[in-house]
Amino acid sequence: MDLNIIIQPIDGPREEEKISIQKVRMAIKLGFEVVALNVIVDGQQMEGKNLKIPEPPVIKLGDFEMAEVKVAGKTFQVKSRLTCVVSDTNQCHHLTRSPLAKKYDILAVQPMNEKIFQHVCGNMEVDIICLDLASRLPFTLKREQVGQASTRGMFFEIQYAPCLKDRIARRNTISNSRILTQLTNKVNIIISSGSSQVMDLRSCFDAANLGLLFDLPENKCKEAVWSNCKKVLSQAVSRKLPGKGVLFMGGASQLQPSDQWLLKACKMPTTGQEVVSSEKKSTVSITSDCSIVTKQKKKKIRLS
Amino acid sequence: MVRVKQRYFLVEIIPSVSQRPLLGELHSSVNERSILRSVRESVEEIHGDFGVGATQAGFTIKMFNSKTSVFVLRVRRGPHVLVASALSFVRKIGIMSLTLKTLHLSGTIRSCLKFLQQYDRQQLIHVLRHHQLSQDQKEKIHESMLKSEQKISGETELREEY
Amino acid sequence: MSRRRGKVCKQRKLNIRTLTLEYKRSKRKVINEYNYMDVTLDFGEELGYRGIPVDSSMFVNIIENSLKLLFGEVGASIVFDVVKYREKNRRAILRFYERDLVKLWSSLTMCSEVGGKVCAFRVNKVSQSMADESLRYFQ
Repeated sequence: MDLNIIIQPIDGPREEEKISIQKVRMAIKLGFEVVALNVIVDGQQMEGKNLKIPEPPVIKLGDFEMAEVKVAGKTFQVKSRLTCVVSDTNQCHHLTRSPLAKKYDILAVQPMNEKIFQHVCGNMEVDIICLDLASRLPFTLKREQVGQASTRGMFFEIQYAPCLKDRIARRNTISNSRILTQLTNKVNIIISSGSSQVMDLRSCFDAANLGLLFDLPENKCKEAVWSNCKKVLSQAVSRKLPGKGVLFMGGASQLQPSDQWLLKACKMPTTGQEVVSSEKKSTVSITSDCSIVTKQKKKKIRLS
Repeated sequence: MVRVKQRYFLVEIIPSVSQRPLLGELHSSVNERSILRSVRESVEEIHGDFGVGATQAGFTIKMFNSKTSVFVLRVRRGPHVLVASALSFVRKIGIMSLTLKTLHLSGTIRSCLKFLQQYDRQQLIHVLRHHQLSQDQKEKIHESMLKSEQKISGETELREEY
Repeated sequence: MSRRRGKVCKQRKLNIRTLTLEYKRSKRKVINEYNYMDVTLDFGEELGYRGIPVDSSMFVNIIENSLKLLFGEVGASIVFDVVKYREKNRRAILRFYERDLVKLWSSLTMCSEVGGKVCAFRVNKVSQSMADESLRYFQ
């Protein structure tokens, strides 16, 4: 999974679309299953009334690409992501209220100073916090704030594309991400490309291997590339909805044999087609009115 | 509160034979900054960008004594292995050509300095053997050494300073 | 002599006993100190970028350079050899010690430029046995 493929408006929309299709095609070839197209918005574009957040990018995949996916026996999804560079609480306020920002699947924030970082970790509802690891960090990260963000289900991002070219950027990325992994106890980290060019994309196993340089153990490397990105997506879905949990519906026939007890427990008529099953089956608890609450929801209620 | 673990290197600077200083003090171009730079350069040469990146955080010189030519280097635990191997490849600091000798590696700066005190005392005895001293001087030295020993047992001075 | 014989008998008895009582499962350990990697050097020619011809010695040189950039002299001293190289699509099988896998792989990932041209190494497969690799290679 790669949640960061940067799209820049170069030479009009057509050129942009052509390049982004190239990127997506490359991502399919490298074996990605989920890809997020990233739109970066500067902080000054969000001040006052002149809010300039572009519409989320839409990409139409041709039959050719889909055929390639089908041959590999995989699914492929394209998500949209908005990254805002913020340096002011006012900008954060505008961001949370704008209707355009809600159209995006994933919301990411890049804080520029310590005060705003504290605000983002404590109060804001975003999915990803990305820091510019390729240069010297403008402020020192504190364990409290980082821990607060990770308990609220936010993820920190390490981008590897800037360190492919520049040696100094490479050094800074390695040292900063080592600090970051230490502060987050090596969880709540995702590794993504952050590539603006097509050839900067690397396959997911390459990215997982790079995690070893960032002082992550082997299992956490894999988590950072696959399962943590999944968590980001489910978190993003729950953020957008008015409710505070995520339920996944499926037919009763799709239930695995180990989860058949759910049918009995819910006193559902077995002839009825629809039954609710949650994504995390191990953490399911059942309330009196036969609705299934995931652990995620409980956690959130306690927090709020 | 999770503790950030560090490693402290106690390193002695040994000048090359031709440039042995007369008064026991090192050349003025050898200071904390130049030492740090040359160590970092040798880490870059031996371990490349990865080595520099890994050791960059918390990489400082905690103490430098130009009279006894000893310095204490702080590195985070983990990448200290890279620094340890790179220290022996340092050839030049400032304009002095020299070699580095790692005396001690420890987890706290206190145990580093404890070792340094004992080491210095040994060195002092070596130096004093080559000089002919009067009875008065000998007594003075003996007195001051006794004083410092009391200080070690109390460990008050160490805590105050660091 | 007799004493020795007695010992042998005891041992044999024991052996028989263990055989009858429990079935011991044994597993043949294959310890291979080498790992093999199937790599392609990609200049992005499908996307309209231009590449340069690379022969096998240059291929080795590229990898050595990127190793030296990322891991310094320690990285440059890593031993690896190109078992097979196909110049047409710049695909090769590398052989290296198992302990160097992380270093070699990450420096391959970090390599992004050869002779002023953008490039990327695509790692097709990593495995412990040569047979596995060569089957895919000749496809």
